[in-house]
Formats: sequence, structure tokens, C-alpha cells
Amino acid sequence: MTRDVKQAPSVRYAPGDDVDFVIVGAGAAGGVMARELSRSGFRVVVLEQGPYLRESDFKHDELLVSEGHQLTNLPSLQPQTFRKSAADKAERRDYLIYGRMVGGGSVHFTANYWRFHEEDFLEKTRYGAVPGAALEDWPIRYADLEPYYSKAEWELGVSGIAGANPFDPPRSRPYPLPPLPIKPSGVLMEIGARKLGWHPAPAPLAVISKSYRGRSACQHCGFCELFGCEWKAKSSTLATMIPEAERTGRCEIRANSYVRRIQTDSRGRVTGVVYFDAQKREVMQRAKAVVVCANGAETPRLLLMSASNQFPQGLANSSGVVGKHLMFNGGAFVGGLFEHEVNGYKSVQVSRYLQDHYRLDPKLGIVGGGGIDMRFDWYPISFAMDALPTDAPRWGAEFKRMVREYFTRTAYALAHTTQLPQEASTITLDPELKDAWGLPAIRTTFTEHPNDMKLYQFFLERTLELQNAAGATRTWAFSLEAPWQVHLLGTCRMGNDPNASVVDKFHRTHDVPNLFIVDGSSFVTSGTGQPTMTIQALAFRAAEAIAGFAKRGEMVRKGSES
Amino acid sequence: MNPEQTMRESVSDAPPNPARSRRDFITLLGTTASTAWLATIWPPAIADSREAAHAASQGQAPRYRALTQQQAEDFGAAADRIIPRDDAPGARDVGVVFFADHLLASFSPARKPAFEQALVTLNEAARKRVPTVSSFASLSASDQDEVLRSIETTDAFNLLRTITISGYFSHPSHRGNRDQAGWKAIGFQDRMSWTPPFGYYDQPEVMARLMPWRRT
Repeated sequence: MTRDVKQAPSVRYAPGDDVDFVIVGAGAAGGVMARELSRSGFRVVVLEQGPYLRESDFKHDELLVSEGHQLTNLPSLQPQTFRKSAADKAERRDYLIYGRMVGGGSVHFTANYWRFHEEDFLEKTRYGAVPGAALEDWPIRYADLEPYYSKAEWELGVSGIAGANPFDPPRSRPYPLPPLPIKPSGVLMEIGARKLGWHPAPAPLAVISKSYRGRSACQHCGFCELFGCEWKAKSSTLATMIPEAERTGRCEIRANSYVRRIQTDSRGRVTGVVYFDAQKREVMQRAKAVVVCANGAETPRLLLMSASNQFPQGLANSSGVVGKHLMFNGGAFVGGLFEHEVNGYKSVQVSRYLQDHYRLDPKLGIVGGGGIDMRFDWYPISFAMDALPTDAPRWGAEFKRMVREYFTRTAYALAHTTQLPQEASTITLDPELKDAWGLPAIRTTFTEHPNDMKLYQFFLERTLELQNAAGATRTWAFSLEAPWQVHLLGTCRMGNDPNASVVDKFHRTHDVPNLFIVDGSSFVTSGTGQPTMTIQALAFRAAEAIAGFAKRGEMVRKGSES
Repeated sequence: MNPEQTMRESVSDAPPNPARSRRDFITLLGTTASTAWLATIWPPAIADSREAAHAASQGQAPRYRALTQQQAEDFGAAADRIIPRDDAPGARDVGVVFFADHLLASFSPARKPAFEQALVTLNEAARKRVPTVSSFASLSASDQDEVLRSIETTDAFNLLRTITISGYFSHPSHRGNRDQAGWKAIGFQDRMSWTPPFGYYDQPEVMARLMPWRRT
């Protein structure tokens, strides 16, 4: 068991100190940004709304992470509303779940770590105009990001095997660590997929299979998804980037700091941020530049809450695009019962995946595609609550008999897919509901594009085929409608046109030269299901660019592009 | 010689063994460097455990902090129909009533009004079936099943089901799943470390047979 003693921060800045950067959010992107900018010599304050937990705070306690929301946003203090379209009145519903702690979602994610493919950056070129969808190409290409995908793999610690997935895009370096051991669900997946002529491969995971840079290898305890890793084997920014940032002596991680506003001066430049500290006192931290890494929901919310006379539509929102084009990733989920012990609760959730359907045949008339893995991401409570076949009894003797029979003998095929960007799918400020700090609640407006439902149906059929080919004695499909969402994407999209995007290709906002945004909100399209690696590769790339701007004095005026 | 390991018909609501319960909390707290943070979430839980331990050492009857005796009986009866005893313990055997009390007293007090309303709904349904009955708990098991069936699509039932399942399978520090009996019933083991093979299909000889394409 890791026993960390909470260290005093290596440096503390005063709110009046005009630090080089304030980073809002210490998650997948913010952790990378903090490490890269502090190692480049800058003075950095990272403000994180959640607590600073250590590995010793993590427990194999399902109630603590679900009912107790130990690692995620707090519905009791941060209520949300949801509606399907702008014509509806939004109702109280906690639809979005996101990491709320130092390390953010990189602490509790499943650690699937997929690169985007070359075509993910060029979907408008490929598909043309799709009615009802705001499809655009990215302003960068795969080749622009490839060095940073490799950098993320090596700096964070990723296990996999180059070339095993024949659909993988070109790469400049192999994985730093070999894949984790195959699980029974992986064996079943290989058997089924090969019968169907598909190409299963060891799943790339941000979990270290051997000791790496002072961290010990995964011990296969099985508590990855939704949980923090007691072994530091999951390569979260909490286990990797954050301590390295602190060791520079230039980076202060300030937890329990809930940012309510980005402050600007009369010239329209950012001067710092206002946040509530743990005692709900308002503090203004000054900074020469601000990088918002608060996730695809909190980032647009913060920009909208930072409206002023000068920026009446919200900060960096002259385009009106802030909060629009919300995407999540969809998919299909099919259970299978097998003859012998699968014991999916041991080790990482996923050991095999495949991408044979990453782009569907154009003849099908469906935009996008996806990947499939075979997994077990249940724990005892959630399994008994929701994992049985949908027509199984929900209580009583037969229910109990089935829970006991199925727990060790099931595997689940999960497809992860594209979701199309739509202007009408948005994050906005709820006009009535407030959070416990008196700030407007997040209001989600979302309906899938008709294409997305066709795509999910396609993958429902494929995942059923896979289970049957793997030898499942019984299969059952779950609803295609997601009860909640965790991939929060697209709401401050990147682009070359200041009238149609929020940030440029280096993540600088078009409107404010010393304000940057780097997180899932930068995505132009959703990719096919696993966004974290692209978020972190974007962060490595953006950090390099932003450090260059700062060193060259390009924070005041926006270089040659304006 | 833990008395909770024997399943006795009428005393399955006995409080958890005090020594065991204290040990759980000591383990829990002893391994964390940020006890202060945990204490902000769980101080009532700690007090709760001490209180239960004290009551048990005095030989007193179960005492609840959030539930009335009648609520405990009605919920316990429903829980035992949701997860009945078979060759593994039933819901009450593993302490789900104490779990519910702990949940509503300290972990999620906001759920208490909905829980109380669910028991009102349960008793209304019970009287609809047997007008003279005093409470759901006093119905026969088969009548209890019929009553639960009559409300099984309601929010009230879903809450009772959720709390029962949570109590049966949650970490034992929350006072349910006593002696990990819920976990044992389904074949789950809570460990910090496993080594392959994890199950049947990843045993080397099985993989050699099922996956001839795999090089060893």
C-alpha cells in the first residue's frame, strides 16, 4: 500500500503576486499544462475546485465513490439541469459527471488510451455537409499531433504494443511499456473476433505493466474505472505530472478553489481570476495569462459567467460559439454469459479491443464509426443493481440466484462511437437554478443526431455478433440511451475562423490574447470514443506553443495572426 | 466465534460485533494520512460505530439513530424479500438494516424523507392487500411478495431495492455486508493484488487449446 505523506506545497504565491500563469483545473489537461509550463521556467498557480487527495485516500469502497461522490462533482452542491431541446423547460437532472479533485478525470477513468486516426481530423472533407450537423475539419492534422501522442505515452506511462492493431495510425515511437496480461474477457474477445474476421489487439492503457519512473507496476486489484489507484499504477496526472510540477519549486497546486470569474481589464486582457476558497471567501489571483482546463462543461460555463460590459455574450465569445456543439461519444453495450469463470472483477477492465469499424463503409450511409472492447466494469453493488439481462427479475430468490451465478461468468462488449457536433446541443447557464455558491447551474441541452442512433444500432448488432461468436450462452443488450455522460467535448471548438470557433490551433482564444483553453472543449469532432489521450496530447502541444508565446513576449499582442 | 456468523432467525438485526466493527474503522483510519479529510466526511460514522459498540457491550437491544423500531422492522422485512436467504445469508442476516440506519443518519441524510415516504407507500400497499394488517412486517412472506409486486415499478420500491442491494454488497465499514457475506455469495474477493490466470479462459493450457494462433 502506498503511504504518501501529504507534502507541503513547494511554493506558495500570494494572490497579489502577478504569476505567469493561472491554470483553472488540475485534471487530464491542467496537470500536463502545469508540469510543462513550470518546467519551462514559469511561475504557475493551479486552481482546482476539488480536494487534493492522495493514494492513501483511495478505498475499494463503492459507496464512497458513487453515493459519496468522493472523486466527482457533487450533485448536492452543484445541481444541474437537462433538456432535450431549447423548446423544453430544463428539469433538474445530474446528467454530467466529471472529475473534481487534483488529477481530475485522469484519476478515475478506465485508462483506455487511444490515439485519434488521421481521418478524425478531416471529417468534413470526408463526408461533406451532413444536414443538421456542424461538421468541420480540425485546424490541425494527425501529423501535427503525432509527436505529442508519443510524448504523452512516454511522459505519462502507457502500456501497449505498436503494430498489433492494424488500423492504428503511424507512430514515431513504440509504447514505453508492454501490454498488461490478457484477461479471460480478452481471450473470449479474441476467439469471437477472429471467427468474424476482425482484428483484436492488446488494448493500450494508461496503466503501467512494469515499474516506470519510480512507480510500481499494476497489481491487478481491479479497481480502475470510477476509482483512484492506490498503487499509482494508473498514469493519472495526480501520479505523474502534478508531483513533477511541484518539484520545480515554481508550481503551486491550490485545491478547494472554485473559480467563478476570469477578470479582464479595460484593454480586454485577462488580469487574473476570482475564486472561492475553501471557506467560500472570494480571492482574486493575479496572473499574466490564464489557461482554462476545466472540462467541456465547466469551461464554457466559466466563460459565460465571465461576461462583462466589454464581453456581453461571455468572455471569448464574440463568435457566439461558446457552449455549442456539445458532444459525448455514444455506443452500444451487450452482456454475455459464459460457461466458465471469467472473473472480470480482477485486473484492469479492458485487455483487448478492435477498430475494424473505425470508419463505416460509405454504402451504409452512416457517418462516423467506432471501436469495440470486451470488459467488465461492474463492482458488486452496481452489478446487482444493473448488470443482469434486462428481462431478469429485479428482486427475490431468482434475482439473487442470477446475481450469484452471473457475477463471475459474464463479460460485456462495449462499442464506443462518434457523435456528430450540432449547434443546438449546448452547455448554458441555467436561468434559475444556482449552485451552493450562488452561481448559475450548468444547463445541458442535448439530443443525438439521427445519424448517431443509426450508428449505435449498427454497433449493437456488431457487439451481439461478437458475444455470440465468443461463445456466450446468453446475450442481452442494454438501452442505447445513456443515463449520464462523462466525455464532455466540443463546447469551445478550435478553428481558424474567429467567427466560427473559440480558440485557434494553438488554443489561444481568438478574442483575448492572454487567455487559452485546453481540454475536451477544444475538440472539433468527437473521435470514436476515447478522448483522454487526445486531450493530453493537445495539452503537451499547447504547452510548448504557449511557453513560446510567453518567452517571446507575445501575450500582449497576438503575433502576426491578428 | 463471531455470533453474526450464525444465522439465527430472530436476532439477525443484532448490531455488528463491536470488536470487529472497531477494527474496521481502525484499519480504515490507520491507513490514511489524511484522516482529517476522512473525518470531514465520516465523523458521524465513527461516532455511530462507537455508539453501537457501546450498546452491544451493555447487552442492550439494537438502537437506531435514524430509524424507528417500526421502520427498521418494515424495511428489514422488505429487504429480506428483495434478497432472501438461500444457502447464502439474506439481507437482514448481513446487517442491511444497520446499513440503512447508518446511511440515513450519517452518509446520506438527504435521502431520509424519500426513505420514510417509501415505507409509507409500502404500508399503504400492505393494507390494501390485507386491510386489518398493522404493518408490512407482520404479513406472511407470500403476502409480502404480493405487496412488493404491486409497487415494484414505483420510486418507493426502487429506493428500498437500492438501499438493500447497497447494504448487502457495500464495503463492510458501512455496517452491511457483515463478514463480507454478500461478497462471498457472489464470488467476489476484495484484494489489493491478483496474479494471472484470473479465471478459466486465461489459463495457459486453456489458451493453448482455444487460441491456436497465439504463440507462447
